[in-house]
Amino acid sequence: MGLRSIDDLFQDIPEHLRVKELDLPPPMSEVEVIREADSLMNASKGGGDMLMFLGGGFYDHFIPTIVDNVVSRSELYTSYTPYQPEMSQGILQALFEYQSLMADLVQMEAVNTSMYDLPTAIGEAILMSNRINHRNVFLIPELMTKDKECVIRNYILGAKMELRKVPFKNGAMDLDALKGMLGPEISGVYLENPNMLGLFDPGATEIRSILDPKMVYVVGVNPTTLGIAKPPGAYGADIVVGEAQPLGIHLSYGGPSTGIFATTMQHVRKMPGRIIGASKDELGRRAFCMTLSTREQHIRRDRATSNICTNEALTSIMAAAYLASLGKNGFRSLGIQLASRGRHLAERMDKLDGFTAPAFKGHFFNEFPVKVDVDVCSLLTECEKRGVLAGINVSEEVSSMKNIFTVATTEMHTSKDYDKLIEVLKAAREVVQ
Amino acid sequence: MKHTYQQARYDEPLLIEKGRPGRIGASLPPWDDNRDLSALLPAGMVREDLKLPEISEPEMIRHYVRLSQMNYGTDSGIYPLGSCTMKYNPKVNDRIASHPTLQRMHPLQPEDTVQGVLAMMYELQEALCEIGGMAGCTLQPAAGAAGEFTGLLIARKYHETRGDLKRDEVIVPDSAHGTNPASAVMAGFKIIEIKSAPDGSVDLNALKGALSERTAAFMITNPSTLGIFEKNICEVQQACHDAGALLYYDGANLNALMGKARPGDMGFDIMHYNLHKTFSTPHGGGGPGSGPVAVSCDLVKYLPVPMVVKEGKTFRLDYDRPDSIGKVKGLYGNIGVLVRAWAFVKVLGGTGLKRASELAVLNASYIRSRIESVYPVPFTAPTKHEFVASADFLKEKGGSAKDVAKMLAERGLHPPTNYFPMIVSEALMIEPTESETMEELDLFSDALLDIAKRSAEEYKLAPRTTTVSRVDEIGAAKNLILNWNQFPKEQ
Repeated sequence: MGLRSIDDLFQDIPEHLRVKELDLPPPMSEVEVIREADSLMNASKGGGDMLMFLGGGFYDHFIPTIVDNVVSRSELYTSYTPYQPEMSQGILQALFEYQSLMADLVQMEAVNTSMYDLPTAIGEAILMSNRINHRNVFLIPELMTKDKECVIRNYILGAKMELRKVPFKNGAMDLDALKGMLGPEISGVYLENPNMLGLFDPGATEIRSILDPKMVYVVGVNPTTLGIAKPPGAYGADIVVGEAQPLGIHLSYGGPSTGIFATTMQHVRKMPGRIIGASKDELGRRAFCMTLSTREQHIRRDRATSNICTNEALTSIMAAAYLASLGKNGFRSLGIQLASRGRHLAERMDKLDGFTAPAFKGHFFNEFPVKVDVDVCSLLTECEKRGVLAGINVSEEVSSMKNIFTVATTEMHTSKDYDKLIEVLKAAREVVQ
Repeated sequence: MKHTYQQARYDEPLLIEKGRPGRIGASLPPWDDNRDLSALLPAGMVREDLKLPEISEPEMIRHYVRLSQMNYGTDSGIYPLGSCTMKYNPKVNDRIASHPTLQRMHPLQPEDTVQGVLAMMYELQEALCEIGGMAGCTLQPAAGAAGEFTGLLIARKYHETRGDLKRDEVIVPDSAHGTNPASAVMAGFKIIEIKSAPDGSVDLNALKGALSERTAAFMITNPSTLGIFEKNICEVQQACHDAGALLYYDGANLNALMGKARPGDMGFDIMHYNLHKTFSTPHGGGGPGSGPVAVSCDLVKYLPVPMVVKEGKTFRLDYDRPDSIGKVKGLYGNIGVLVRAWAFVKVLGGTGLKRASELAVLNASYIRSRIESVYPVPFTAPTKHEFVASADFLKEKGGSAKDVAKMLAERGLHPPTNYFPMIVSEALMIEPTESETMEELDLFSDALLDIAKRSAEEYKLAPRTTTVSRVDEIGAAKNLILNWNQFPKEQ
């Protein structure tokens, strides 16, 4: 190549911009980096190291061992977005299966391969709603975490849309209030089912009939509930979003997971994200490829439906492997067990002095709100001192709620874990009192 | 040239086609207090039918093993997709990300129980700032495009806070990644596209003509998508800042510059990193990735909440940042990806990162030197980590860049990016990365040279050795089949 040294290749960088050395530690051997990582991890704790009843959309479910084996196949996880379908049939079929499994689960027709997570999926759903009906006001539930709302507000900034909040009544969306807020400027409404408190919203099945036909009904789900609960497609949702973490994706301190995004064939061309379609090869054999790419940024640039490029494909495959592993019977049984465990635990907590569980009347899955007659922050801190993370303080999310926390359980808990929680809650309340 | 490649081909059924009633691949722990469905759900909320496959565990694993054999990753061979930086994904990174404590760490745990992960995040933030020459960094964005969006929200907030409310335009070169204009629109800006100069660099006159009191930011990659270091970077910087605009660095091409030059030193105000490119985390067939954003001193206060901060020996999530743009993703970022990038930086250290960029540039320059006499490279400037060659000369005999791609696939070599950037006719955008050996680079170059000699008839047949032959992508878009319920009924 006619070069004397590697520096010859960098002569085009102006001299004053060249860096001598980066101020970073020297290289480590593999042993050393493992040792350092292990020592940092050992200084931290996870669900295996302490008793946790934390939820809020992220749950410590059991993940069948096979799920990790599936996504450890390095021909899959070291591949790029399948721009060359002929040599990428494996990842394409796996993603097509994810779309299909998710379509059946939420009972919609068109599912993309993923959004980043639930909050960004809601943001994208609101933008899509605006593309569908060109209306500028979107309704969200008052029962929504501040963090989620904050992400959504940033997503709709460019579209100059306005958000309005539908109040809640008795732990669910207030349908009378919703009716009063509707008008020709309303693009759509977002309902979370179960909601931020873990409660199923009894109004979910009525909302479509309240909205005018042009309005877009967006429903957010915890996918694990859909083994037993009616899917949003069966009650008129136009877009379904959700957080797929509970479907076999490791908690990993909150990411990566997959944002579920589904819609109807009617609206598929307005959908953001990547979509896999089935087709044929030249010999007429079944083959898969990415499709409807003309919606996407690499073709449509500033007129794309979204800027999303890199997504969460691999965690979507984890969700698919998880659903297939449990199958029809396993997933339904899991749903019954989780809802039963929730009920069981709530009944036991409700018997404790000073605790009301659930705090609002209603049905719930594996997470429910609890009201306590002492300061909830102090209560949770006292529980933590006793080695139990008893729940999430949600009182700060909505101003009208005082001393309410949510408790989540999964199939990872044993009866003894419940005994321990009850004992710790009781002791903690006495101390706080 | 001998053709020895044959990708696996199974008529592998879909999961739903494989299942049989009663089979199951997982077991649930015992629980003896199950309730009646009617008691568990509101009236009208009970699901009637659930359609999921019923498959045994061995069937499941065979299914996915077969699918994986019908796929090609960087672990299969060279993957020189330009702009995608498909380097080797070190296995030690996966081991660290699979630590059982991390896998079961809930995002809402108290800070004192997650000190180890916060420490890793903090160290990664600091390292990224050093590599980029920046003052502050957020790890929250989930991908490069999310990073762009974050950076542009910061630019927006910066101008707004200064009362400079007219700045509603973002300038991008015509060679920019599609995400640039798409992200800018999402952040509420209008796009002004400027043409590249004949030598592939930023056309200074065009830039100066486009800059005005309405310009919020100018977004560029450096090296450009043509793999050329921006020779006028100092003038570009001067012109943007003189006009009151911010300069945004798209980090997709950072693999050319680690330890060699830093965007911060060039005067960039905002940049993003693609950890799934430059920092060796696996691409996962499309994701997950991670797109941290770093900024210069004046913009640190606008970074998303929470920031990981260090106080004494303790790490904490700081939400008390009144000027912050807020949040762009739930929680804190794709931690599983961040931890892998942390390990990559640790193993390579400052000297290793520099060496990685040197080898990436050397490898790209080597392929260029091998093929340039046949596949013209329309720009004479030196190559950095990638270069764009043209297959335009094949048109004469009825060939195209797409044919070259399919011929490479036929030989078991992943093709380069084609038809991008759009400013080069029949573009082949080649980025071998630092991971490849001389032998692999020669194999790839020899294949390209041999393909140029083949006939159009041969082109049309390729690829025959891959799982399927050319896929009817137009048909897929015309007759949409997006899930397994939509296949036409067999007669």
